[in-house]
Amino acid sequence: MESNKRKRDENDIGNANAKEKKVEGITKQQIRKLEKDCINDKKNLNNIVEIFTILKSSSDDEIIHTTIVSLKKIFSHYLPSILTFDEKSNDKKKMVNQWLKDNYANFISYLLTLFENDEPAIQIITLKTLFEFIKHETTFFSLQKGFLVINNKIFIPTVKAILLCQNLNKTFYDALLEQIDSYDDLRYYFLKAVETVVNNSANVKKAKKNDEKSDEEAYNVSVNTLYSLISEIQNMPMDDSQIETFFILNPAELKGDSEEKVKHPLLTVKGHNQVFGDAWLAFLRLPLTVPIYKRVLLIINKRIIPFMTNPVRLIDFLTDAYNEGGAISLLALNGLFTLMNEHNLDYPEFFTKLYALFDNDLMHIKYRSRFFRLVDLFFTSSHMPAYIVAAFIKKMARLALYSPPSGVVIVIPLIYSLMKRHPSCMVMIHREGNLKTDKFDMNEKDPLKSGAMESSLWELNALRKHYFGDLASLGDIFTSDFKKEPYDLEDFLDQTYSTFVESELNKKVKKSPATAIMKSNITPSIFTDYCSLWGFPDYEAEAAAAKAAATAQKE
Amino acid sequence: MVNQKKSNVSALKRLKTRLKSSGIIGENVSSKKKGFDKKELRKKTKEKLENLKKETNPFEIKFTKQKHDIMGRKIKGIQGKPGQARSKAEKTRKNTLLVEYEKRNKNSSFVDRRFGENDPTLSLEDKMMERFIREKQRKSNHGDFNLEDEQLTHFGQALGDHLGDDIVHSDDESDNGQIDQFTVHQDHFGGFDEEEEKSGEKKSKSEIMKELIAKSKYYKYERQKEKEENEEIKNEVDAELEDIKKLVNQSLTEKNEEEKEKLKIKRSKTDDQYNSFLKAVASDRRARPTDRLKSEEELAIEAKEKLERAERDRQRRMNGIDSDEEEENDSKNRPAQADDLDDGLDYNYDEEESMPLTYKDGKLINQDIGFSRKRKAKDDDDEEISDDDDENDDDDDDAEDEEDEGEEETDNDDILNEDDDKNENEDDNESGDDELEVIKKTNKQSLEQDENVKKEIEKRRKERHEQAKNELGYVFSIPESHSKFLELIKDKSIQDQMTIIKRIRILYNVKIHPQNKDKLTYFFGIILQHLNYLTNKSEVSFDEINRYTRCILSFAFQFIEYFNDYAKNKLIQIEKKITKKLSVNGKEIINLNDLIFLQLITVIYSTSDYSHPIITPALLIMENYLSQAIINNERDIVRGLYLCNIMYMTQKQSKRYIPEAMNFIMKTLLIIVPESYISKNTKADMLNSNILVNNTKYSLTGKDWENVELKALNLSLIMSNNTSKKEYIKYCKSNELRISIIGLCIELLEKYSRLYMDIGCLKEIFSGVEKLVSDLEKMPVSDKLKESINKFKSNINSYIAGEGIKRRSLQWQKRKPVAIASIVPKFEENYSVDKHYDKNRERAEYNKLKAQVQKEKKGALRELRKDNMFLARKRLQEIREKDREYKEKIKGIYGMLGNEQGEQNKYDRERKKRKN
Repeated sequence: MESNKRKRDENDIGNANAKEKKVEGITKQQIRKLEKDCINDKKNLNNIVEIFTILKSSSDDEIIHTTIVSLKKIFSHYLPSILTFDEKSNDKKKMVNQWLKDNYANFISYLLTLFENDEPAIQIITLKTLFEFIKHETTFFSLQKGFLVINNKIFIPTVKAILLCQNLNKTFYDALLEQIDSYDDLRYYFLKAVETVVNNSANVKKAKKNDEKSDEEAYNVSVNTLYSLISEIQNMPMDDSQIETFFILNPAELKGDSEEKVKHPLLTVKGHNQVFGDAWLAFLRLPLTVPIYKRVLLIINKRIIPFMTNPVRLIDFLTDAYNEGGAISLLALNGLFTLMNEHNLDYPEFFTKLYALFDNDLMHIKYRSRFFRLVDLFFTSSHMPAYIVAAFIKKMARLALYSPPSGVVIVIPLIYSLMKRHPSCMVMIHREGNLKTDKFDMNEKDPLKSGAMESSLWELNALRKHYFGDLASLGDIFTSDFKKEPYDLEDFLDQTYSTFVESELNKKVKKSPATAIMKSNITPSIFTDYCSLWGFPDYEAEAAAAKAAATAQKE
Repeated sequence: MVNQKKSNVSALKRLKTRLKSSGIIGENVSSKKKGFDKKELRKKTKEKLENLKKETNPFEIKFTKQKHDIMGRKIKGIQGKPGQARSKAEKTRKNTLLVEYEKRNKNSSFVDRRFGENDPTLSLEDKMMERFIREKQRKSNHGDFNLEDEQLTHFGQALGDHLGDDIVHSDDESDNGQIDQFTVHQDHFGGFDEEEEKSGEKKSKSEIMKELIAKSKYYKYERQKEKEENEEIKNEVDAELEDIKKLVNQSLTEKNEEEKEKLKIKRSKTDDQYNSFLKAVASDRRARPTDRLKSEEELAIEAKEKLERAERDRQRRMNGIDSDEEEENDSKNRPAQADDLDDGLDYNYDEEESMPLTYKDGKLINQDIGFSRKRKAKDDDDEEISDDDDENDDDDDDAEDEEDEGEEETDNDDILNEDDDKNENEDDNESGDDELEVIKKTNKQSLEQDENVKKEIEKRRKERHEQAKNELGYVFSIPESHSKFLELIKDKSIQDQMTIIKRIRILYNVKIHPQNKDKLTYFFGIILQHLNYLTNKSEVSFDEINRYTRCILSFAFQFIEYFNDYAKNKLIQIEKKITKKLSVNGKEIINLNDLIFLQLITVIYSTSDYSHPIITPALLIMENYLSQAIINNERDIVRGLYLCNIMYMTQKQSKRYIPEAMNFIMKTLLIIVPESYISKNTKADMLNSNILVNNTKYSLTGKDWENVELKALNLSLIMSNNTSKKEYIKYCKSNELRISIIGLCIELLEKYSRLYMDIGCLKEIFSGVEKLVSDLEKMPVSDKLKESINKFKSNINSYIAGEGIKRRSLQWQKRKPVAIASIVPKFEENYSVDKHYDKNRERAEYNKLKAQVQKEKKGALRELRKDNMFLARKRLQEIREKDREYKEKIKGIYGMLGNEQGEQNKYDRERKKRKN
């Protein structure tokens, strides 16, 4: 209470008005002063309360920031005494430590709510403060016990608080990822925490139809937040020796009383991969939005599968996605293929399902080029039966009829390559004699029964008359000898209208553009010969009449 | 062998035998030739000797030894006579080079051109004889065409007699177009009546000439005299004109008749005929060279001047002054003169009287007549000017601008008719009264009429002023900016706007001034800007757009380079806009302005090209838009269909396949037609499921649509930029629009199906369409639409069936069987191992020529070298000669001096002796 007085005295000297507006008019310097006093002298411990009230009541971001920093310093200072607090000690000390501990717990719980604050700076300082406390506590307990024990009492609520938060932005993510991704231990415990948090969350439970009623309150994990965090984890260790940066301390330095030779899981890649995989699987169990679904499928091949101990566990997810249809199927194909190719996954009726993917949407979706890249890969096998290839060829050609030039430009070289690899498909473009009927059935799901071999690729007729001359001439390769090397599909995959237009416009024009021929000396109307239902009057006739009238007058 | 035999005998003996064998020596020579002349004999022997000399001495022949002698091969240059060749060369050099060398310091040379001097075959006597003959001939003969001695005749008469007659008569033309008898007699063909002269003695030419001159002078004098007399008479008549006025006519006719009679008597019948023919010929217009076709430049300038003149008139009329048609007429009729008024603005023709006034008793009597006359003249002129304008129009190719001259004309006519009426009244008044009264009355009337007339003039002036104000200007300068252009065409009808543009184009015709090209292109830019303005206006008028696009078309063909750049930039602009807006799902991605522009370029450029620097990217841009085809409102549908139509127009000739257009049309149909009418099967069959949009916002709603008639789209309403208008909103939501859209889709599909009739996979392309159309058929719609759907369906079915019959399996790998490679070696006729052999004839010839050239060059060089050597030798000889002469001379001098000295010494010695 003395300090209060003193402080008031000082205030009197400094600013008389500050008396009334104790909280609002407070400045950073004053907070720092309070903090210093508190740290220097145990008698001033009440300053904690004062700063805490300032923190709670202030709306000024800077003040909040300063108070958090101050409190962090104070608690860090007194943390050993808080942690060593023993109920059996003498009364006076016990009272003070008890009071300190309560305040500490209050502060932490208040900090957890501060993630909701909109200001990233505050979110970040909150995060840092919490991590600081976690570090201190864990270090303390670990040293005490001789092996690494993460303080989950603070860590899990922190992760939970973050994951529940909806209003986090990129700055915060970056700050968090900087912490998590650069420290191996933090990353490990974070992923572990994610798994527990997600598995306990309401949306997962609902999906599981869990009848157990948890005593915890139901909560929903923010899918976006979680996705943006775990998808950005990039520094997963590849080798045990790479695990060397620790935020808290290196568990190997601790010589625990249990003298087992088993390495701490934190120190092994396997352990990391385990938690990584668990976290992802937990995440994938969440009900995902379509864009996130697609994004996950896009990165699954490069960012997830390599770091999982057992990627086959993704099969459920991928199969579901593959059966989804449309764009998602196409994307799942990539992951599925990796699993089949590298992890010995057996997928029955793969080509039938692939054939089903050649649906009416195929040519119009964004991921078309990804898909065809894979298709090209699938068809490199020369052991495929020709009639299956023929079915694919015929279907592609049919789909190309209604596809944009960027689709046609993929299909034509692909068909060429396929025919080159499977010469028995050549009957589709060259058949001695004539077919009585076209046996191809567009709607047949099974490529074996499609009857493509008993058909001709008349579709190419239309493609060879495509309005875009480059495509039309590309279609002419089928009439030449099949002596060219199969095309590298990569050159054709990522074309769009814009690239076509750009290349057309940038073409060096040698001759000036040819103009139309005027049939009569009357300048024609641009509306001539348009559909009658546009309701244009016959401008041509009008003009002709006018001309006739003019000549008549002249005569 | 002969040589070998001979070689054993001595040279002297051989000479003897040869002389003998040639018959120069021996016994039989003299006896045989006894009868001949000695000279002849000598000559012959000389010849024989010469020939003998020519026969070569075997010692002079040189042989080159051959290593491999091949039988039957002829090689040049084995045998040579170097000595003979050298002496021959020396001789020719002496004759040519030496001569030149000796002449080197001489400027002139003497050429002996005497007859036979250079002919060695002639003997001296022959030469002399010939020369003598020639000299004689030269003296006796004056040339083949000596006119002095021989007389030229025509029909046996000497020609020279008539020479110079023309000169005499040329200066005095016959007065009244009649040719006097003398001339006829003398000059005209068929004349030559010279019996008198013939009968008398033949006169010399000079005499004839003199006579002629005298005669002509006489006639001239006669005529002058007559003229003077006439003058006198005329003066007399003038003096007492009043008295004989009545008699004038009579006397004149009498006189004429008398004269004619006289002439008649004089003339013989043949003359008459001849003269009449001649007259006819003379009066016949000679085929004059027609005016050459005017060059484009001249035409352009003419058109420009015409407009400028019209503008001057207009200005004048606007100021209330009469137009200067009179001036125009004048200037038309007479050639330009130095003092022609350039602008004619200061000159007021109103105040000028074109008709002489008649005065009586010092008072003007025919003032009104004068005015009426004048008015009539004006009347004509007005008509004329309108004619002119019409001509203007016709001159220009564009037919659109029939100005409202017609109206003007009628206005004028009205006024003029009134005038005429008045005049008639006045005339009536006049004619009805006696002369005296007339005079009295006119005194009063004239004052009144004066007033009237003045008022009338004022009125007309005002009217004209109004008229001119409303009338379009003729001369415009190119507006500096689009806003200026807007000012210019403000309140003008579209017709007038076109006229303005056309007039500007005439005034700034490129042919007139090279700078006009820049100006006109600038103006073109403004017009393009104006099109943008028109299409972005809240109220869109397609009539206006049509007019302006036409105008742009003709501009574009003129300044195609400018338009190329413009089109390219605009395309880039549109492309940027589309990609930007598509990426953010923006609204109003493409607007009417872009549509019209795209439409324009499809008309301007050749759309059937396989690849076209403008059309191809334009197509891609259109397809890009269509493939995304974000439909935010009804307008987007209409725009999309409009694009489909534009694309159809581009492929009308080349018939290429445009998938996106099909996609869009189908999509539209699926959107508009209520879902309940489309079977699931149809939807499943759509090759592009993107077009299946679950959006019922645009489908036909309510029940009344079954009765809505198919009508043409109200395009200007749906394209209007004023979307907040009630009318627009109502129309957008109406079923009428939707029915029209369905109709349009069907029409477009019909067009496209016809386009793709021969594409080879019509069935595949139209499989979805076919099903959709059979669904549509079940829709209860108004008869007209139903009819078109039915028609389309039957058409498409027949097309597909037709294709099914025609279609064969593809046979693209069919190749001609490749022939088995032949292993027979290729033989060549006339092959030779000769190194000069070349199969390629041309090359062989070329090489041959080359070798020849080289050979000749070498030869020439050798010759030149020898020439130089020869000359050097000559020079050395000369120098030696000179030295020798000099030496001799010096020697002589020394000798002389020695002698002298000897004499002196002798003398000295003598003296010494004497002294001693």
